[in-house]
Amino acid sequence: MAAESIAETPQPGGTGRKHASVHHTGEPSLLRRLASRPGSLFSLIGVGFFLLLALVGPFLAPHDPAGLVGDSLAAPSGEHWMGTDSLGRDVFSRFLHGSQISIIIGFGAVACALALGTLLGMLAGMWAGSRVDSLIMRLLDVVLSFPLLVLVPVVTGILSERDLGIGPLEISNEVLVAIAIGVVLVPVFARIARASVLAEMREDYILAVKSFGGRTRDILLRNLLPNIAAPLVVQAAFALAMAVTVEAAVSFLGFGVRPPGASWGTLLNEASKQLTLGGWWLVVFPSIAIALFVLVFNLLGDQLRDELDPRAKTTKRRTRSDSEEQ
Amino acid sequence: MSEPVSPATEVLSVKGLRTSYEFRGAKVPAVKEFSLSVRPGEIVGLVGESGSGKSTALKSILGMLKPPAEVQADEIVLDGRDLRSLSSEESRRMRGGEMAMIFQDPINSFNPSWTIGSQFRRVLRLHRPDLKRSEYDAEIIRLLKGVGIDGRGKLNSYPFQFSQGQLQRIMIAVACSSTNLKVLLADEPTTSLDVTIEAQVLELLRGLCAQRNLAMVLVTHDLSVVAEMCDKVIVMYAGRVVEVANVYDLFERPQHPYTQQLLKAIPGFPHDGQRLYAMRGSVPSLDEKITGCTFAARCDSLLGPQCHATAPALVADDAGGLAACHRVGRTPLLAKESA
Repeated sequence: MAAESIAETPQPGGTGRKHASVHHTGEPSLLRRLASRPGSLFSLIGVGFFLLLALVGPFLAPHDPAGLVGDSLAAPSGEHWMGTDSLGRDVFSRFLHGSQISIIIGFGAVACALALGTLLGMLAGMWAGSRVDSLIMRLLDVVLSFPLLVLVPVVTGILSERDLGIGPLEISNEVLVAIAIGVVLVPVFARIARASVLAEMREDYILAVKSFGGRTRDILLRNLLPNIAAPLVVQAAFALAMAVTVEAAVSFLGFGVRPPGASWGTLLNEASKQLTLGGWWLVVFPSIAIALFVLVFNLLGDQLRDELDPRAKTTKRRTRSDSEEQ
Repeated sequence: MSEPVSPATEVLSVKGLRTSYEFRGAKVPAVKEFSLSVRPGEIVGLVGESGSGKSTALKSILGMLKPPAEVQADEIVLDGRDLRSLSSEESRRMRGGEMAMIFQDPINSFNPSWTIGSQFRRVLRLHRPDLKRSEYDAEIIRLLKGVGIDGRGKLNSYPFQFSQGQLQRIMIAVACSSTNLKVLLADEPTTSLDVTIEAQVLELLRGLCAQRNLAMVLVTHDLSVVAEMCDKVIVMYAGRVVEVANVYDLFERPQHPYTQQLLKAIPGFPHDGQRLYAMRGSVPSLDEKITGCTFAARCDSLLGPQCHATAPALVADDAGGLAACHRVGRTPLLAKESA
């Protein structure tokens, strides 16, 4: 039998499946496509800025963040770019250190939630209808039944009273906050992972893998995971914005990062006491940072959803053409 | 490992297979008292309308159904081993190792996120312990050559970069990668292919069965494929086997009215100006309780009230096969009657 020659270019409609990974279709890479639009370019620049802030920010701090380096409540000046606080500490230095802590807590919490939530959701989806599924989903329902801003302060409040440690490792307050936020976000990822797995399990390729004797771990990690990753990545972007907001709220309430440690939330907490004395600079900079962070990651989530979910793309295109017709 | 159960003249023997699904607290039977036997090198066709339980029977044999499906059988013996007694790990190793399945839609049978090469290598890792990792690619290219694909430089291509016909041939190569393979289950392997590619794939399957002495169970809607490929045919209706015959007898002397009506529904060429025959009604739903013959409501050759009263058993017919009809053994051949 003569061998057919492989097509040089992707065949029209040849992906067969709606969500066949877009990066394989010969189109520009995801990053390049995101960079080609002003909205997503802005969000990418923002993400880069915050990552840089977290990585090198503290090294750029001109003063010790806990050191008393000037007059109390000095307004922004050439020497103290963001002024000083009521104790005479340099706010810019505290802001740089605090940014690192807030961003790391945000990423840490989302990483925990993404890993644990995806694993639990995939296990529940793989054995949907079984006792494993019921147990996992009911446990997650319990977590979901508590409001976010109640559960995190309660967990950190209770646990931070004791010195926690695993062997020689001591768990710091910041790690505790990240874990608490992560636990609260687990159900979000687990539900998405479960729903996606339920849809994927009906696909023929899973049946084929099973018919060739594929192991459960291969089915889960090598076959299902790459095909359910897109909605999880989108959710992770939104969850990052939420995690940083929750950290700020919890620290503002005094249950998160503790003084003299700094985070955007603790900076706002300290600022709230000085606002009546005219210390506006204490509020403005961390507030702008939080707002910008939330804006950037929500925008990134939106853009990723548009790129990774072809149905959203189609709907958008259809809506646009409908409005043009009108 | 269990002791041999029956003499190995038949490489696969299934008796009394029953598959049901639990639905709203009730058991809904999908396959009832299904039996088949296939010898090395033999091709057995499994025909019937959609919903007659053909694919479910294959998946049950391969042990791929999990709760809420329930599979029971009096015997499922592969090469002398009773598959019912295998542990889940042994069963997993048997799938793809001794008995493999190919599917209807090749583009969806490959994971779109991985290259053909990486998916093929994973199957080799499972079923070819004789190979070193460094030998995988050479073996894949050799196997692909066997199905008419030049695999050089294409192992890093994704499934969408191949045509349907190429993918089906690659799927056949993957299914046949185990050296210990004895039975190939083909679930409508040519339904999604165009006619010219269909002929090539059928020819390939027939060649493989002959070369490697493989037994094959071929599920299809297409009776012309059955005529071309099969040695023996099992006709299913509403989850039950209604006729078993060798391929010649099935087309020359069909015993069951359902088989006759199926054959009558094949469009003729050249067109003789007659209206095409269409079987009235449809396959009853799985949960419908029918006391008599399940085909009675659509039968053109009803015998009488007994057709609605009692379900006919599968008995030896005049043509040397088996048929489940009250007329069998009582009247002259239905084929002659209808002619």
